[in-house]
Amino acid sequence: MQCKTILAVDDSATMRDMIFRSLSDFGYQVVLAADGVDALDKLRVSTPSVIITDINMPRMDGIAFISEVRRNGPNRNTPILVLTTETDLRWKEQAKDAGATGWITKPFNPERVTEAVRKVTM
Amino acid sequence: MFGQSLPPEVLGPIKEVFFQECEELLSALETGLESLKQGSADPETVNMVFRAVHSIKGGAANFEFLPLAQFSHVFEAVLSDFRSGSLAACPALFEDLLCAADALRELVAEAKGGGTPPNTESVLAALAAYAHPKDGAASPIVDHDTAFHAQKPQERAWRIEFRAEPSLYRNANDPVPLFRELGRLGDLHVELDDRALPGLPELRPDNTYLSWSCILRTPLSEQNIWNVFEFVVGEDCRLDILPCTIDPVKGPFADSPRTGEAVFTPRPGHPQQNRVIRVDLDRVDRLFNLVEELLVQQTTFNHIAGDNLIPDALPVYAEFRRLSHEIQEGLLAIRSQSLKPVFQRMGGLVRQLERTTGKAVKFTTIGGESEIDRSVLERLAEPLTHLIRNAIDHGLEPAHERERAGKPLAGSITLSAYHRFGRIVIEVADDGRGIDRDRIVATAISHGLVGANEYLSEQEIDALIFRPGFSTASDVSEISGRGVGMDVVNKCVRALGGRISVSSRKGVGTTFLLSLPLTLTLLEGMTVKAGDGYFIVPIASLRETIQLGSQDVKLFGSDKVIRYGDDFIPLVSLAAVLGYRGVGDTPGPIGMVIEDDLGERVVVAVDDILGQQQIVVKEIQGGMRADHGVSAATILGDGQVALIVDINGIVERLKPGAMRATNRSEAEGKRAIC
Amino acid sequence: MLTQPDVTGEFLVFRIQDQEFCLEVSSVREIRSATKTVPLPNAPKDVKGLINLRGVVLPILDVTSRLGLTIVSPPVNPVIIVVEFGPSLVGLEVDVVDDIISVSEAQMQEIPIVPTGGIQEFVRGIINISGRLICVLAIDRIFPAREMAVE
Repeated sequence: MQCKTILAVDDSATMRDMIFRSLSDFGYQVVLAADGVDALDKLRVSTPSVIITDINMPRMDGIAFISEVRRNGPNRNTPILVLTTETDLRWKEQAKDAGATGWITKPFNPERVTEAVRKVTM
Repeated sequence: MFGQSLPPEVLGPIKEVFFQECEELLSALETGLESLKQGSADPETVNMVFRAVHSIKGGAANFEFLPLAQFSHVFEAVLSDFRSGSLAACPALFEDLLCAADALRELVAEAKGGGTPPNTESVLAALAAYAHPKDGAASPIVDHDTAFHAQKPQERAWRIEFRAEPSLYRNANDPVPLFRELGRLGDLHVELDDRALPGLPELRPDNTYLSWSCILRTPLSEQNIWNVFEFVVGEDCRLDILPCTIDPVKGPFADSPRTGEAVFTPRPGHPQQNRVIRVDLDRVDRLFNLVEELLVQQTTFNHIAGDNLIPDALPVYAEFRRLSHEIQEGLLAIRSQSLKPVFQRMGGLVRQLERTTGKAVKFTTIGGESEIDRSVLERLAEPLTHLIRNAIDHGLEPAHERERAGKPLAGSITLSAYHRFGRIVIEVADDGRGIDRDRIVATAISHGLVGANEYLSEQEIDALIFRPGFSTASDVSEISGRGVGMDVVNKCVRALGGRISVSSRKGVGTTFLLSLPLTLTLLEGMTVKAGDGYFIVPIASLRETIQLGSQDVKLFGSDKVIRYGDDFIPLVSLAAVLGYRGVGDTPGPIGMVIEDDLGERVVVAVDDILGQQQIVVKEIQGGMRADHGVSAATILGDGQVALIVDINGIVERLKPGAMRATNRSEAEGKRAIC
Repeated sequence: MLTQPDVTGEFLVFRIQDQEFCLEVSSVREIRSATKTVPLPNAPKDVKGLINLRGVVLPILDVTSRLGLTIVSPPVNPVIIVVEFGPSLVGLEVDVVDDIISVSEAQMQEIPIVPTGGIQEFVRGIINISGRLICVLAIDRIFPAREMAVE
């Protein structure tokens, strides 16, 4: 197991499952969260190598989540990748403005996910 | 597409999760639309309704349920407009949306179970009426991987000028991973230009002063290079990618005004900085034991006080539990070690065997950097040694035979390792004579392991070599091409919670495949009660839990079977099959469908299910490695000992005659050395 | 082979059905009241079951049964002696734990030859103290690896 940890945030159990399986196969440690609030909880005590988050989520959506992470916590310099669909181009801009490092378009395949992770992690 | 990279047996359960989720989402969607129709103006309801369809669309696209994906795409677009306010609320809209929700439900059912596709034309037409035309054609739902154009066969050289702007770092981007990615595309040569770098007093930390000039030789297209900079192209950097020619005499930077020397040549796939410290292994183990004890205490605490916590204490306790779990995971990661030392040991063994057998061997290892927990690692050498020894002793032919067969004179042994679905897979492959199936069957018949007229598939024949009693033949080494001890290897691997399988082609070679858990110390299990005791059924082997009604159970002679899908599979009471004396054979009310490593299924009946949890695996002291259905134990929240069920052992006990064999007689057979 | 114990030292004395036995103190980890055991299926017949000793899963040996002694008066509060057995720990269930005695060479004696020869294989020697006959048990024979372990 590489010591690279990934925090994946998505309100869909299916998505979380798929992200977990595809990244675990490549040796990453994956921590899952169901929405922004859950994710912030986990971030208070851990610093993953990269955060992958969906945009449309209950309680706290991806944009608000990214803004909060970038504000001033221990993870303000952690790379954040957003999961976006082709149609969500304006969300992509918003996410970038909020501080997102990069994006992964849905539907995704494991190779694309790991490629994106590689581009933003040391 | 995601679905293509995962095999059906993994995709299956994920699809099930997806359909379960669809149920919840459809229900929430309908409730939400109803309340909006009633006049609710709650923005959260609107969001929730949108997200429901959005999530279904996402999953559908991933699994390539095209009608469902396309429909949800259109549905989602309308909801998106409604959410953003560009579509006004009116009764007709909600009627149409509810119709759309119905259609969506039908499409989900179709995706799940086949059947006739629903007619969604009128609904789609109604939805289309609300849509705004967006820049011409509707955006694609399915991901077209446009990044990689047809590759030019020949290499080209490109010059890449890159300078990061301060804004690049603001979003946690960094040039280092980008250069590494570039390096993966081909031959990369990088030069640094630091002329803009001021002295320390003038240096501003939030400014950028460095730029790089790179020459990349690659057969891939220009698009691939732009793709590397996908996240930073724009205002975050200054980037130029130009085809270039390389002067054979003066070199790549001949006409460059810069004089800097190459500073940075990233090697593809190589970690740049590994910050590493040496730690005494005993300290790590001690820490790990403490954390395990912490887990036990925590479960005990939960058992004693879990129901009586004051409301303020609940979130604190939840956090506490989460933290202890994370610590555990973190420690497991620390204890992970790479397989390299084991592989190197095998290399030494190969060289030694080359000398003793006089055979030349080409030994290759792949995946030695894979890591697993110490608990498995330290018990790996034994079975691998047996396998490699056998491969060289008996699998590889002597040089003259290989020559006749047209094979390279040096036999090849390949040892590879990779992670697959949360387990570690290790393959030992040789290009030797392969397994002689006819002679294996003959040996098995002569030892009474199979009937003379029994039909066996190729895999079943190959699997015979693992059977206890097969290798007691003195001449088996000549006959099977495998030496003594395959059942020993099998026992070793099973003791690790793994399984071994073999595939072979006569004259071509043999490959052994070991699948092992990543750690022996933790297990995801379902706690059940059977008879007077508590047991843990490993989740990995649990297919389903069913309510047992007498109508599902049929008698097969004096044994019970139950219909499961298209098959009848055995039904036994867990307590009885484990051999607890004095337990009646009436199965309990709940059946657990378990599957062993070879895919054989059994329903074990238990009295009650207590819940799923991650448990700490405890070996039973005193050298009592309980076989025949129990592999180890754990401590429950109330301090009680629960036995961990060994699925393979249980299935074996169901073979005729197995349960009559006593401990003693089997123990008096080959004594495993592992 | 039964030899005289060649070390004088301290021994923990316990009783089973009015007979006295002892073990070297150095191998005794702790003593606790007997608790209900979880039966281990297919265990050898003298292993009562498993208990949880602060996170360690311990097999408990019924010494009375192992020694083949008949139960005349059932013990009221049986006791478990936790002993080290090679790299692991095992528990021996006995009736009562008495005291710790210091024994010198002179007090060690050979085992008497008796016709039935029931417990001889488990006893290393005997200690003669003021008329008491205390058998020194050999742990490795009470809990021998080859016979007891299922593998």
